[in-house]
Amino acid sequence: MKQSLMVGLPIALLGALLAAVPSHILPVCETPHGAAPMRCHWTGMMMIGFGLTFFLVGALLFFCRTNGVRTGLSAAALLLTATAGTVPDFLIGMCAAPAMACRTGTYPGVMAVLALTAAACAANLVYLRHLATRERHGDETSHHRSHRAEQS
Amino acid sequence: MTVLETSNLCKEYRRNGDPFLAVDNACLEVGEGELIGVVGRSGSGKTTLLNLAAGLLKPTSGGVRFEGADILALPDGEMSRLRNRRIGYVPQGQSLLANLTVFDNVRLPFHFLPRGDDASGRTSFLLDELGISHLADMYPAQLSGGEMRRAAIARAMMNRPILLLADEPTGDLDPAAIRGVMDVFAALAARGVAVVFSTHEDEAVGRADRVVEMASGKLSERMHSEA
Amino acid sequence: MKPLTTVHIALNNLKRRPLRSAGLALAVAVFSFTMFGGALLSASVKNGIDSLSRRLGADILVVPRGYDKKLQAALLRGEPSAFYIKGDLADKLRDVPGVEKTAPQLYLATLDAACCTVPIQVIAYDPASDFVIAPWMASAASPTPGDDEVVVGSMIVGEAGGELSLFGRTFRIAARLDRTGMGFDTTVFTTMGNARKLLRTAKNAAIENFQPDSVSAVMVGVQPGRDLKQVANAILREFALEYDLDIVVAKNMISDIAKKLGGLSYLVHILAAAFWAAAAGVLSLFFSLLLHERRREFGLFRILGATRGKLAGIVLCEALAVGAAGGLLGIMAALGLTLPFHRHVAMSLELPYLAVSFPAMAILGAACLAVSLAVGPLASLYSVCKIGLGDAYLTLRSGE
Repeated sequence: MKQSLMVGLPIALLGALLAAVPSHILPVCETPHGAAPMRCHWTGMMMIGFGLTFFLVGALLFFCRTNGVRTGLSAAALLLTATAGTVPDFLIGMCAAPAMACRTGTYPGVMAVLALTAAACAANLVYLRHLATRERHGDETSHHRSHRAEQS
Repeated sequence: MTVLETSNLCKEYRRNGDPFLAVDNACLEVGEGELIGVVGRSGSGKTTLLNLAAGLLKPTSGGVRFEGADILALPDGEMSRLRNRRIGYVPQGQSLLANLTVFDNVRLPFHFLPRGDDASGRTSFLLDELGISHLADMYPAQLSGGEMRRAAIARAMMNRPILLLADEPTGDLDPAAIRGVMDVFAALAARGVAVVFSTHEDEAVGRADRVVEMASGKLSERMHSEA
Repeated sequence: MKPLTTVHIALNNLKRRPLRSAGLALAVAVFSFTMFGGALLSASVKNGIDSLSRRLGADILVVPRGYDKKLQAALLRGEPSAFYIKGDLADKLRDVPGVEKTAPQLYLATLDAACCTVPIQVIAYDPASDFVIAPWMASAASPTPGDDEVVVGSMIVGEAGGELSLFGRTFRIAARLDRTGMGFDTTVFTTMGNARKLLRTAKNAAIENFQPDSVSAVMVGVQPGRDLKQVANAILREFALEYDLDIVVAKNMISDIAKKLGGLSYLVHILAAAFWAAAAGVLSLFFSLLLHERRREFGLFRILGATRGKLAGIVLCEALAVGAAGGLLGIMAALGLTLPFHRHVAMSLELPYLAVSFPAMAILGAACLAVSLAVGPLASLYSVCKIGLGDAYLTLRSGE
């Protein structure tokens, strides 16, 4: 249970946070009445999508028990954060003026959460590798113990 | 040559406010290369005697001389140096540090007063000599009782002491393991290391050069035929 | 094989209880986050205030009545405003006893810029007589805008040599200014001539009470040694009724802002002190428990020949490691918040805000880290002094 929480919970929470940043916490620029939505609006929608995806990945990590599957999920989530990071600057973009709300608030908020998510995924990979090594050592020890028991 | 000499050693404790003597006027001489067994019932004062001899406890009265010098007069730094370099001690029960490997546990005393020696070489040699070199990278939780006891002996021998004190080194061990530990002690004694160990096991007592008995804090020599 | 050092043993001990060690580091991190973040904020606001007072130039600012707050908003936060008084005031003010020089400025507000829906402030000045904007532009090596040219603040979209559309008219960007931490960052500067030309063909300009020779404010320089309050009162006595004026004394404006900074700094210091005390308390408790919990281990160390000093070294090393980890974590978190969000913070504070330079940040960070490092050893002092006292064997047994 503790292991499942450690690998799943941070990513799920960060996913929820990522979705909340452009919608509630540091919202994108308001679309003027009658005008077409600006680029930051669509970037915000993408971030909500990515955020929900990370939340689901976190949930899957929690419920999955197999180390291999967890490692695969964490690696995929790490790649996903890189993709998400290209949306505000390249794929869609944000407003040009530095003083706009999306530039001063949403953009740094989204990038900070993505950086934390990437760090959480990387930490997961390290932790899962450590667990795999410990499991292997545990197998060697019990083999050593049963071998000693047989000898005596 | 006399390595250790206690004269009229007394240690008084208080139990429920009443004084009692855990060690009562103990006089013991330990020569170079002697293998001495200390026997007695539980609570007879064996452990207290060993601890007084190692300078781990301050006596209520009496003296302890190590290589002719009064250890009770030594300042803490000097006493620590003595315990590190000249006296090896194997405590009762499990005494390895859980978060260090066997290798690190054994070389730990060297770290406290480093010299120019090769600690790793000495550690590997000791592990080999005690037959546990294959366990160097394991942690104490992965070892059996006998293996841990051997590792503790190796640790006590790390800095080449001339006196080894072992408190119940054969406790909880099977006969084969007891024999193994006593073989190690005998080999050390043959090399000139004075070994004093407390024990309940007859098999261990039988290997000693001399046997002393503690009873209600009083020390007496036991004839070998009584063992 | 790596040598088995005091540091190795200390770090191993911390690794043995990762959650507890993390909790302790977190206690220190909260303190260092507050201290470093607060120090950065205060230093940046102070930087902004210094920037403001350097650029303000004038001793007294004369504006239409009721618009003193709007002027301050325009100067401090770049909130676009447009207000007007009769243009001949600037010349008349020179005759007031104590006045050394005057310079008119014209403020325009656009409701739309070409690219984005953020309103921007336009400030027009007379390069020949101006002593507020012209000198600091010169010191910033910025060219004076020529015909149909503007100089833009750091937050305006557009590079030098590019174009900017104002009121439906295209201007060439002669230069782009560095950050000032005040309202000038979202301001477009141009000459009076350009501004008046612009207004003749203006679209979407907010214009109230505008006459062809109107100005928005008059900057007044007072003779050295004269009492500012006296000169201000003289101006009001002579012109308040005729021109319907208000006066802003620059020094008072700056000292009001400085008082707010003082309040902010005070709050930060109180919080930092409270968190330091909390971290020290938590760590003291931990090290007392540690001493109790590891009596057997310490007893064993003594049996193996470790001096009291060696034991103290191990405990102090653990304390330092916790302090270092927590200190660094808090500093990184503070940087992670203030650097990316500095514009958001500046706009929220409604104070001049100019981020400190990296060397200054490094000095603040080093000072913060030093204080964080001190928390652990100070908190563990009592435990360190008690370590190794008493018989080693009793210590060993008491831990069983």
